[in-house]
Amino acid sequence: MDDVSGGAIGEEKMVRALLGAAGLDVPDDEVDRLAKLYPGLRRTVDRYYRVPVGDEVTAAVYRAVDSTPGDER
Amino acid sequence: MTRQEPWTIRTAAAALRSGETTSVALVRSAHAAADALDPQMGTWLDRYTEQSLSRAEQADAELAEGRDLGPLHGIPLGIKDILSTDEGPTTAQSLTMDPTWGDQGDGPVVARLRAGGAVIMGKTSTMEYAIGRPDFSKPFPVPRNPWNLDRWTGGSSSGTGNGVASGQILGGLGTDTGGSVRLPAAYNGVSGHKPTFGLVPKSGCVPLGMSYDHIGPLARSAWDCAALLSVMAGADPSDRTTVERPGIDYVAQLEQSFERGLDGLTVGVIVNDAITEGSDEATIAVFDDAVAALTAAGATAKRIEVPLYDELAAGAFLGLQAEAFAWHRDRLAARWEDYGRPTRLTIVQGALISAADIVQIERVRQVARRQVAAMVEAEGLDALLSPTTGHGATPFTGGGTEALSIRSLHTPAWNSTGWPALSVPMGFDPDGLPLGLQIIGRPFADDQVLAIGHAYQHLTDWHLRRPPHHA
Repeated sequence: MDDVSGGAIGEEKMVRALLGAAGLDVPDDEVDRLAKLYPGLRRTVDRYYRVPVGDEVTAAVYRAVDSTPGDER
Repeated sequence: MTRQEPWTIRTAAAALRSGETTSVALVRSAHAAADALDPQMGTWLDRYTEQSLSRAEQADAELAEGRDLGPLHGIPLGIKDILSTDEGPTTAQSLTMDPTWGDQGDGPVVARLRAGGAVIMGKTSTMEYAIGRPDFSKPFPVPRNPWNLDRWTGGSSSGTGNGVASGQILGGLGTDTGGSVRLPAAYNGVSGHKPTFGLVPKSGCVPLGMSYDHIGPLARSAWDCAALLSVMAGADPSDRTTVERPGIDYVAQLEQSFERGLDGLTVGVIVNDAITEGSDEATIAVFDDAVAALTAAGATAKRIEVPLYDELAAGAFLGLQAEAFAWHRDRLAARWEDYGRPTRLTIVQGALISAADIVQIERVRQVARRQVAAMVEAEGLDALLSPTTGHGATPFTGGGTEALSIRSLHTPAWNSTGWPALSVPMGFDPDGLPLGLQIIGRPFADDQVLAIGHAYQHLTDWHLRRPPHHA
């Protein structure tokens, strides 16, 4: 988790690959901008894996029965 | 709306019933103020002149017949243009918004305001999809601050914020996903309340971050926000995230609480580095004065550190970016250039984090929420306090894309927890720009948060100050 770069392929290629996987064709100057942001973004996200959460579930919890107010199903 | 002291919903409601004014007079005056100020202020995307005057005539007739719908009856309000209304389309201040989206008409909150007798003046400006920044490249208004036209209003409920501050409207609706009600409230010197998540239905609102979005009121005072929230609150079948709760008259609660005073109230003053290092000296000094005013009136203050505060704050932005990207993905792919550059570069960051990352952020969100609740319980706190932002309104710089430093926002952690948070004016910085005091409460303790704000506004008159650009 300490490698906050795009790994062996580098930030620019990583960002381009992620955007491409999402079906986005982004101009080069904006890919460059996102590539500069990417290491900081990864550092921020990786911090969440260092918080002890045990077996905690996500904040969004699926329920088999709709809990909509007024829904009597 | 020219008077010695600016109208509030409370004073206007009293004047409507005493015969001092009429709804038609208030609405005509509001439109005249908008005619004069909007070209500079960028408050409005659309105004419903004929409909609002017609509704005002109806309100006057109803009040004359003794049919009183409550404190909003006959009061002119603005609606942020990411909320749908019967009168016209919703643009979300974007070229890419589906023009038919707003065909659904009033969402439940707008419908409730209307049923409460409010007069809908029109649609107020926002930042694109409630996430963009001041953008001079698109054919939409760039909202400006009535305290200094070279400063930003804060966003994204910009037009409602500057409309209230400049006396064009007496209140209105904003939405808050990372601070978008409280930030314009602070920057414009008005009051703004982010309700508890689940208290107010969000259907009829263009979503940004579905689990962080809140619809909230902006107005001059906490009392006015309470009057608006009393009508807005309550579960609705159209929004699965709303929670069935007993109905509350927040104005009555606030007035009863005021009678009891602040003795016995314990507030936690947040001293995390993110607050103290993310605020300038002037803001901290003004904030200390605000805390001192509350303690002098009987409250007890404790300095506290909020557990996992940084994770809650950053998590709101990471989460909302992911949720926003899910909503925007196909549209971004098809119409990238039609989005404003700040908007697309913010939302697209949701594509750069993984599904597992989001799950982990959501797990931490749960743990953090529990730890904050335990800390509040253990310390016996009734509310938490911080500055709303770390400094006054930022200048427009260049193309406007750097108009906001995220680090100086002290609002997003409370979008992660979903706890209620009110911003009220607490003074001015050395440049004469307003600063906000943020009052945060336990879940569904919106009444207590508003009561503390109301008590503070009896100790100070910052909320009644008029900016240089005012009707």
